[in-house]
Amino acid sequence: MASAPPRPQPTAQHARQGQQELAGELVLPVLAVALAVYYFISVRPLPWIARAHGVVVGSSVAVLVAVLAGRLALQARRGQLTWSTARLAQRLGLDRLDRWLLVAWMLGVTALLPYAGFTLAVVVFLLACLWTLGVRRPRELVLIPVLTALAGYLFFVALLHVKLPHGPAERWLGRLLGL
Amino acid sequence: MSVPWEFVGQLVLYSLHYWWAALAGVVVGFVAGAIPGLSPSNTIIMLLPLTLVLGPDAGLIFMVCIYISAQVGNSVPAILINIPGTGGAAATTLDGYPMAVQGKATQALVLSFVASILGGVVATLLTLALLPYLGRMGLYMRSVEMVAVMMLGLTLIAVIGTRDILKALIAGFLGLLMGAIGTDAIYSQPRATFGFLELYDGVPIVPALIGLFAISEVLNLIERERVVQAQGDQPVRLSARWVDIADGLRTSLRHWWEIVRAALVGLVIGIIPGAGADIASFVAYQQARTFSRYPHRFGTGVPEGVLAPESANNGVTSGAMVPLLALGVPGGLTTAVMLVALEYQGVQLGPRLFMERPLLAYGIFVSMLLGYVLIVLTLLPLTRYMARLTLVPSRYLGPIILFFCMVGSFAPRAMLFDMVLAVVLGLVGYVARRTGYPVASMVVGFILGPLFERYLTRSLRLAGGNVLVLFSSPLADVLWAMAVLALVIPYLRERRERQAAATPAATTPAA
Repeated sequence: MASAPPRPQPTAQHARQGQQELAGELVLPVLAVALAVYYFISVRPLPWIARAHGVVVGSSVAVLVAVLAGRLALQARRGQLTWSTARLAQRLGLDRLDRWLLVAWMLGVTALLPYAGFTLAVVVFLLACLWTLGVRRPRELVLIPVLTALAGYLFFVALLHVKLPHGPAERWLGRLLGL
Repeated sequence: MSVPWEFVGQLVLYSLHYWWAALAGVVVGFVAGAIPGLSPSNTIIMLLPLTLVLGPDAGLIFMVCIYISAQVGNSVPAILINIPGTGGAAATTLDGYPMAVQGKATQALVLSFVASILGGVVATLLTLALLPYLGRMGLYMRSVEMVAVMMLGLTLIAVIGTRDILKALIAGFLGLLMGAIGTDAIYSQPRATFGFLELYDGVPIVPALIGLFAISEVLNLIERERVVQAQGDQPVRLSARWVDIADGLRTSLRHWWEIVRAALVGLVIGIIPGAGADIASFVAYQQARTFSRYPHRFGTGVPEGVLAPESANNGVTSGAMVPLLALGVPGGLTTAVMLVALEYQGVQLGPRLFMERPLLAYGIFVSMLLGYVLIVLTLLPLTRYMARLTLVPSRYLGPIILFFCMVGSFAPRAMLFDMVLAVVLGLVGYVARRTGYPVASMVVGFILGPLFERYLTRSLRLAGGNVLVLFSSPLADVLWAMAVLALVIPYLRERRERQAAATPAATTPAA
């Protein structure tokens, strides 16, 4: 199978030339326009006064993004714009696995919380985060999550009665502390 | 007008009698303010049984000191790790965090504490002196005037983006759009909720702030060794010396007028029901920038950028007590909780309170002053130690911040959905930061958007849809003019500076 031609790699030369990558400039505007369109659709049956604010804001988003598109077109004509998505990947740090693992652990802990309860979930979460960020000393890997989770339990659950999900650790600690 | 010194003496003695309640309130409030998700109102709700046991006098002093101290504590995470403890400190991140990154965390904390304390004291003294007149001020601020006040704050969206105004506007309007998500207040029709029942009340502010500021910041932070950035080969050091505290004090006092002006902004906005520290701090920041000699340096770590929002958010606390005590109308969530607690104890708030229980009514403001004195004595000296947080390696600090993010986003509504929402908005904030769209603009739009919409809709409904109603009152017209000036003055000043900078270069003969 013939290999694809190599993509142009982001170089310091690009930065020196002040080139901007198209994809990076457009991520947020596309998000804004998508939300505006969805907003328009959802407020369609409402009377004008109830729509006024959203319509004004959404239309403004559309106008601003159109102006940005015009600016980008001008930059493209002057050769100040690069189509390379590799630079966007670099800019967003897509190559750093630790960052995306942290996001995965955050989403994972929300799934774990209802079953494991607050304290156990925090221990697992902190252990995973510390390991991901390169902490390898066993004492730190054990003490930081356990002490943080215990302090969190005592402060938020025992003292302030914040309604955090309860699990086996909370039941055990509750019996131990007579709560 | 003669000062009734005997009564003043009684008020001081009354407050000092409850020093223990004030001290407890200061400590609890400071912690509550410093932890994202634990707002003063949430904390007071959690401690409601305790306030009932304390009795009306000590209970109210305890609650008021929680309120004022939380507005001091909320700046600590805002400055040290770019996470506002409450919405009232969102504007503090704009210049506070850059100062921390430059190794000036102690000075930034001192600036914020001194501004909070001085702003609070000025606003409290003014409130005590002008209470009967201030009580009526809220009546002049109708929805039409409030639209103009909101616009004054919203001009900050454009101002933040001096480097790229177009990107700032897009980010700001995305924030405004996010703020418009939720059920319509009048027709009860869900708008852009993606089918999630959890969004019917709108995008909750705490998870949104945590996501946009904190989670996105942690995702950035892990690329650095610690918050403070090393300067070349110089080893990172953060002095924890008294001289830094003294330096922060000197700088604060040099800018006394900015603190007083921001306190006045806070006081006036605090009196208006529905408005609060979130709005006041952004409006004060914008005012400080407008009147600054170097507006273009705002956002890079200038002292005024910390002083103004911090002074304003404490000015709000005194203002918010005015309608509560004078009219029996709570101006916000925290004062609404206080109202419930006091009515449960049989205290009737309103004009009669000042005749029936003058010591309680006026004593509250003197207790606020006592609270500020206690903050100076107990918390100000600790800034030199708090600043050390910026030296903790990010491999330890990051996970701990994320832990607080998760708890903070869950706590206000006890919904797992809010944790997921915080993560999603964290990713949005991260992409925005990396692609040059200012997150601060997005947050300004998001915080002020729903309030702007509420007042705008109310005004239009009252006027039968006639847009000209927005310019129908002299006060509103003055506020509109101020909003226009806030946009134009910095632009004209920068243009003049550019011309001044270009002129000598053009006239200087080549060497």
